[in-house]
Amino acid sequence: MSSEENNKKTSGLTRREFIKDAGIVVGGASVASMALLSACKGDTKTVTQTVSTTVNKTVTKTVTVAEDGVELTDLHVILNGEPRVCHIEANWTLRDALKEGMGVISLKDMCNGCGACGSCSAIVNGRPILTCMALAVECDGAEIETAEHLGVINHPLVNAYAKNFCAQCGYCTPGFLITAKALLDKKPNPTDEDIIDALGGNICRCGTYPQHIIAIKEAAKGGK
Amino acid sequence: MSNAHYEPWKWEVPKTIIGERGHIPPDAHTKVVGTAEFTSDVVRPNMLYVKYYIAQRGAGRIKKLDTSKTEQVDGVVKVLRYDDKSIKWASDTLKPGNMTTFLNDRVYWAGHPVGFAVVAVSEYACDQAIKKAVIEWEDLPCEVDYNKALASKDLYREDINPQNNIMDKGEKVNNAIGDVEEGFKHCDHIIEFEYEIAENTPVSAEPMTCVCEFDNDDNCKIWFHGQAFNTIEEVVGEFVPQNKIDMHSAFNGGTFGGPISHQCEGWTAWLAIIAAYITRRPCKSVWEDCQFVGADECMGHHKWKVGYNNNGKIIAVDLDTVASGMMIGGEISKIKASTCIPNLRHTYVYPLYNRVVPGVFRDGAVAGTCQNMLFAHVAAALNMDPTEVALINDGGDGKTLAELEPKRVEEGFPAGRDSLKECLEKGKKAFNWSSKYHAAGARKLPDGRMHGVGFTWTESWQNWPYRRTRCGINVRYDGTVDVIYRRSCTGPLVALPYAQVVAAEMGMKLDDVIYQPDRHNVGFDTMSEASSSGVATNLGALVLAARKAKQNLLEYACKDAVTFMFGMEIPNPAPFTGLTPDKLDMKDSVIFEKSNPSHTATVKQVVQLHAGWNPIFQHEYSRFFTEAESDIPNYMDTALGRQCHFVEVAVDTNTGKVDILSACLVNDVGTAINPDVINGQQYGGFSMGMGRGNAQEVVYDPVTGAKLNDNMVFYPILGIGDVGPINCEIVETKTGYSPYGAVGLGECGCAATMGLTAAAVYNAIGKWVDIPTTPNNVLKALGKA
Ligand code: FES
Ligand code: FES
Repeated sequence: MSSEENNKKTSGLTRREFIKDAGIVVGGASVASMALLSACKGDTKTVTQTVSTTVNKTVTKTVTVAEDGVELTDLHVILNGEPRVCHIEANWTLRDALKEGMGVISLKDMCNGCGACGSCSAIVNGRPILTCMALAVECDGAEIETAEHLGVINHPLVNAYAKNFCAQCGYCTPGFLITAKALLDKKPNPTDEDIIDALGGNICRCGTYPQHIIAIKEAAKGGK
Repeated sequence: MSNAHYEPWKWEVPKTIIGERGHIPPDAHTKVVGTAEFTSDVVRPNMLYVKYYIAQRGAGRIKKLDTSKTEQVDGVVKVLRYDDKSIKWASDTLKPGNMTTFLNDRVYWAGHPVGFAVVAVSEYACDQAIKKAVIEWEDLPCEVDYNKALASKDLYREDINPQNNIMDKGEKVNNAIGDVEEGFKHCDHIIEFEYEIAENTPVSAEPMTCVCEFDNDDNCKIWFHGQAFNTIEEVVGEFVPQNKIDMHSAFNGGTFGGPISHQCEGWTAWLAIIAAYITRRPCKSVWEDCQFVGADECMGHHKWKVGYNNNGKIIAVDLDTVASGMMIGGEISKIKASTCIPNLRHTYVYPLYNRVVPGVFRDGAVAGTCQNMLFAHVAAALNMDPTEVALINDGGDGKTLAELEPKRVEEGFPAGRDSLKECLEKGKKAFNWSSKYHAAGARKLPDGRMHGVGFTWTESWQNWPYRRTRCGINVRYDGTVDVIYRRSCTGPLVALPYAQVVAAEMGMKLDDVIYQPDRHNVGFDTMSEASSSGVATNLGALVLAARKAKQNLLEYACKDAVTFMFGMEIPNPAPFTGLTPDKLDMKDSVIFEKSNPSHTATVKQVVQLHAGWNPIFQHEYSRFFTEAESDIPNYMDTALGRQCHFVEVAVDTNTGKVDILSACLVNDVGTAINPDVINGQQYGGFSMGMGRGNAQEVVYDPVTGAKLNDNMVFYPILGIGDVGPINCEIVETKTGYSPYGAVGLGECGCAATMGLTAAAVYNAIGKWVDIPTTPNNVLKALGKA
């Protein structure tokens, strides 16, 4: 058996590899990806394409295909209230782009990017999403909020989380925090059930779960 | 220090700060908003990445390895091949005991790093390059079933035993006391029962990474995710002198300890070290699959014979296990430590087959689960309240509490404290046990599901300050204090309770004391932060160092200083000149005269007086650096602290699904340093215990030995909606061997509760179920699968 055969298993396949290897055939992202993947290796021309994305926007992308076949483009976003741009490879996930391209370290990766832990969560155009499951190019032009920003604006959730021991090792916590923020944006006075529903996709190996319910309700009351 | 007089449980508990709730951990905000830099976030200029090739099959040998295409992938800098003689291969330090050697030509278990590793400019390039390698395999016999391995003549782990498929050279007897056969002759009843526990795996929070770099003068920097710092220093020491090594610990996602983690963290570090040494560039090793490497000590088959009397008193226990408890052989260790059962015997055999060798994480689950199952079965057989059966058997090393009491009082422990009784009183009330407990299969919920409750109890964990630790305390120029330690890989929030101890002992404001991580290159072995060497082990060093630091400050507060300035000697009288330290005390970071409390000086004033007129004279600070080493008490007898836990479940007999409705966890911690942190270990550990007991099971392909669910999509980790409300109760009987009679509890929340759902499911449906209590196992017990 070759090692390639050996490597064919779900857990070993990152989102980025999946996108690269299989091409994208789901949702609005397919248009962008197929445009990018249709360019020939070694082609240095610029491809301009209008694409419809999963975040319901129409964006125009310029893609440069470098000599080595790597498809490069720029990602423009409003990150935590500031316009930001970075150079990305066309098959990068949003998590890769924000972390590697813009230095956002609150985006973690507990599940090897398979969409099962919530530690990479961010708010994109008002919705909490798993950034490991989104293609960066489809978020071009998006407004993105990450956990860091809640510290900057001193959101009541931050202190409520800190004082209620929501972080033990702290690896999962930014993902919980930003998901909780999205919940409060939508439901300023959530019930226990609302909170359990909203945080259902976030995993904490240290088991801090009961504290998130307390902290979110406390923050909803203005931090009391 | 002689340990003849080292009796830390007799030390007086400071009156303030210790035991207080409501303090915020010093790193909490940083963690919450995600600006805390974890090891996996560390990036160095010009950094490369390095990854192992991970075998997906359970057995085999590399006949031919073609990495020519691997080397051609864009971004690949180096392929590290097992057969490259120019590479200085693994250190013996990384081959502890019977652990498997990595990166050779032989696969022993799915997930085993073998053959080669790739160094490249990005993780992505590593992944792509690894896929391009072509391996020609020699198929070797593969077995993932331990019973079949025992019966087979094929050898599966020649690396551990080239003779047969048994580890540790055959059957062993462990933790035996009394005469079991004799005991069976003198009891009212004998029952026999058996069950299976499936393999579960740690799934640490953060994928394993390590960053290493060497500069051109061979100075080495390492960002290490793990506990075994000294081991890693030894490994790098094979490349450069140890005094050129600068070890750092970033924040670390929860890794739940044990030999499995040590092996994984060691091999992750080794990969970064060797790649950095060869390429002379910073290298980050990444081993994501490592989260699923490791099998829990509990897995295997447990077969019991138990003799007991009509009143619930257990007379004789004979346990035979196959496959579990590899590292410890401790299946009945907790039963021995916490009961007066006079006759105990445990025989076991550990088969060798194509799974990673079981070890421990959140150590003690096998012992906790065995105690749980023993008492649940006896109580069920007698149709007796299991809390009553627990009380009647409480004791230690075959002796009753009454028999143990005189010696314990003589050794300075409080008289008349009955930990189990106190735990039960609190727990039964908080859980509402009297209204929830019922005979097996006797209560149906309005929605048609069956209602059940489970109960377990055992000794408190980590009752032993079993190794020496050192602690350093530095008083800064502005009078603030840092406690010097290294951050270790586990998640518990010890920074806060340890700072509380130092502040309370010294008489500092808590805000003035920082537990300073990543400061371990101070010339002595600082404390590992948490894990098995948590409170029970580290508290002694903390208290001694704090007391020494205080004494030092008080001495300087009485000592006049002389400052040299421009060639002149300028005398500076001390604030308490003429007094002796015993006349002084400290409170809220202020030194005062005991007989005249209005006569005060701040710590800052004293430090600055003796540090000179200018903080540039940093060397003067050394006057205010103190360190102390704890000892191991020479008297350590049976543990008297107890814990007991309750759970309530609903069982759907159509689907087999077990829902956890509520729980109550009670821990006697001896003395509570920080109740908020203690609660964190209780509910946190419970969530993990319920995952192990009610959901998680590693599934293998029986032919290839491949793991089929080593990812978080198919390996179920419990989430926020899976555990129900949890009531956490704390009992303080001061009966531990650590300072103030304290006991650690970092592992027991998980380890002691793993069998709880099996007991509760029996109470619900009147059938015993294998562990975990998955729908499949429940339906099997009901004869429906
Ligand atoms: S890393 Fe995105 S869900 Fe786990
Ligand atoms: S706090 Fe450690 S994983 Fe959540």
